[in-house]
Amino acid sequence: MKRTTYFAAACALLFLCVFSSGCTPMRSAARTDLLLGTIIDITIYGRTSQETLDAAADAAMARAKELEQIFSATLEDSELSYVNQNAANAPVTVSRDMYTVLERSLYFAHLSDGAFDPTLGRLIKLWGIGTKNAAVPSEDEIQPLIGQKNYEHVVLNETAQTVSFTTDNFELDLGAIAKGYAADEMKKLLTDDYNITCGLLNLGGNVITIGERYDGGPWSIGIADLQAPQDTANPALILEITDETIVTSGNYQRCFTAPDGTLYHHILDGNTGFPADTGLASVSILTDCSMDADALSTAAFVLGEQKARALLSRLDGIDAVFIDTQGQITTTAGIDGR
Amino acid sequence: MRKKIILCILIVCIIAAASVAAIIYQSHAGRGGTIAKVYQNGQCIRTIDLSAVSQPWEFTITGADGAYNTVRVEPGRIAIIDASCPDGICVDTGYISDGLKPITCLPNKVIIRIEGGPGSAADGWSV
Amino acid sequence: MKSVKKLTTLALFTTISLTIFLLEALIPPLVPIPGVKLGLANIVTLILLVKTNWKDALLVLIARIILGSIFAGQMMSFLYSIAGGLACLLVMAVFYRLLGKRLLWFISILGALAHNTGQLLTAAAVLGSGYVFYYYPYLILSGVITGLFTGLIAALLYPRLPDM
Repeated sequence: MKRTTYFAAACALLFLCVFSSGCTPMRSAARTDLLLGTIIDITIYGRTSQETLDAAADAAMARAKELEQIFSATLEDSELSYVNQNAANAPVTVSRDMYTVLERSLYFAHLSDGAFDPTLGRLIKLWGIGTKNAAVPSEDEIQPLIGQKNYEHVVLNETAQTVSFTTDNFELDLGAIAKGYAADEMKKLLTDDYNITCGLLNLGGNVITIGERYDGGPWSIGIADLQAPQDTANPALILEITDETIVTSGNYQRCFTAPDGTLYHHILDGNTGFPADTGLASVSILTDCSMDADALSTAAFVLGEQKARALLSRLDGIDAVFIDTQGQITTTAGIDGR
Repeated sequence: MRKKIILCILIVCIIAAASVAAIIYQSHAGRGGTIAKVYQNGQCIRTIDLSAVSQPWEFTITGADGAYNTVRVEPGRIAIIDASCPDGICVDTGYISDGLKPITCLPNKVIIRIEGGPGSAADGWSV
Repeated sequence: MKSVKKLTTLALFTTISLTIFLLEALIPPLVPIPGVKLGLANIVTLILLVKTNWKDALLVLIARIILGSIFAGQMMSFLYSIAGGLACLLVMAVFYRLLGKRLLWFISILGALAHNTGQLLTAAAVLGSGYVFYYYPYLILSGVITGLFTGLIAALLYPRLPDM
C-alpha cells in the first residue's frame, strides 16, 4: 500500500513537470521587408516575452536597413556610391562594415582568379538586369569592360581604414557578397545582443539559421528546382542544417529574355562580359559564414563545376550542391547523408 | 457480444472516413497555397484568400509623398495594375497565382506574394 | 505475486518494449508527416494491461519513455512521448475495464488516437500555435491503422504467455 502511494506521488510529480514546461509556450516573431534589393524574411523563436522577440526582430531589420545604406549600388547617397565617386581621386575613409566586406571581397577575387569580381559595377549597370532597362549591350560597349581584373587596382589601408582605386575606369558592386554579410550581421546581432537561440533568416534565398529548429531538430532547407524555383511542394533537394547557412546562385533568379528569345541571367563573367555559361543552373554553398557562401556561390557558378570543385577542395568546411542545366544534381562529399 | 463488435467496427470506420474526408478537404482548400499577403514597409497590411474571391475587386495602397499602387484581385490571382513608381516593374510583373514569383515594388516598398501554408516541404528556401 | 518475481518480470517487459521502441526508431519514416509511426512498443503496454494491471503498465511505460528518450532523442521527444503515452494508457485502461479483452483491437485503436491527440496538444502548447492541427486528420487515420495492427498483434500474443 505504501509503495502505491509513493508511486502515485512520483507520477503526480512527473505530470507537474511535464505540464509546467509545456505551459511556457514557444513564441515567435516574424518580419518581412524589402531591403538590399530583395525580400528579407526574419523568423525567430524563443521562450521569452513577445516584446523581447519583437524588439529583436525589429533590430535585425533595422541593421539590414543600415547595411543597405552602405552597400546599395542604386541608392545615390549610399556609402558605396560615395566610394565609387571618390576613391579614384584620393583614399576614402570607410565604415567598418564596408572595410570588412571589401577585404573579404578582394580575398575571394584573388582566390577565384576573378570569377568572383567585386569591380564589375559598370558592366552590371550596362546590362541593367533586374531593372526595366535590361538589354543586351553591343560589343563596343562591353569590350572596354572585360578582362580587366580591376580588383587588383583596389587598395586597402588597414590602419587608416581607407580604400583607394589606382585607376578610374571601374566601379565597385558588392551585390554578390553584401547579402551574405548582412545575413551574418543580423544573426550576430540577434544572438549576441538579444540572446536569440532559434531562428531563420532568408534574404532572398540567402538562408541563415540560428541554432536548432524550435523542436530540437535540424532546419530543413529546400534547394529550388530549376523548373519551378519557388514551388514549395517540389524542391530539387532538401538539406538539413543546424546553425549554418545555405546560399544559392542560380540562373533563374534575376534574368530577362531578349527579343531573339535568349535568356540572360544576372551572374556576369568579368572575362567575357556576358552571363556565365558553364552548364550550371545553380550552385548552393553550405557553410557557417554567409558572406563566404555568397561570394563562393557566385565564384563557383562562374567557374563551372570542375574548377569550382578544385577551388572548394582547397577550403575547409565548405560543401556545395551543383545543379546543371539538365537538372542533374551533384554534391560534394560532405552533403551525402544529409 | 456480436452487436458490440459490429458497433466497434462501425465506430472505427466512421473515424477513418471522417479523417479521410478531412484530408481530402484540406488538400483541396490549401492546394498550392492561395493566400496572398500584401506587405508595405515591412508590415503585412492585407491577407487575401484568393480561392474565396468570386468577384474581381480593386484597392489602392497609398504611401508617403503621393506614392500609390493599385491592386486588382481576381479569383485565384492578384496583380498591381497601376502604380506611381518610376520603373513600373511591379505592374510589368502582371498577375501572380502561385508562390513562384512575388510582386515587388522597390520604390514604394510593397510586396505581394502568395504564401504556401503548412503543406510546404521545408522551413526555408534557397533559390 | 512475489515482489522479486514481479520486479524481474517488469524489468524484462521494460527491456522488451525499449528494444522494440529503439528498433522502430531506426526504421525510416513511411510518410513524411511528423508523428506518424507504428508504435509497436504499445503491444507491451496492451499485454501488461491484460496480464497484470494498469499500474504495472504505467510503470513499464514511464521507464521505457525515460530510457528511450535518453538513448534515442532529446528532451523534446521525451515531452511528446510522455504526453502521448500517458493519454494512451489512460484511455486504454478505462476502455479495457468497460469492454474487456475480446475487443483489444478496438481498445488499441482508441489508445493510438489518444496518443496522437496527446502529442499534438503538447506540440501546440510547446510551439504556442494551433498550426499543427493541420496534421490532425493524418494522425487520426494513421492511429486507426497502426492501432489496429498493434492491437491484433497483442491479441494474438497474450494467450500464448504464461500467467503472471
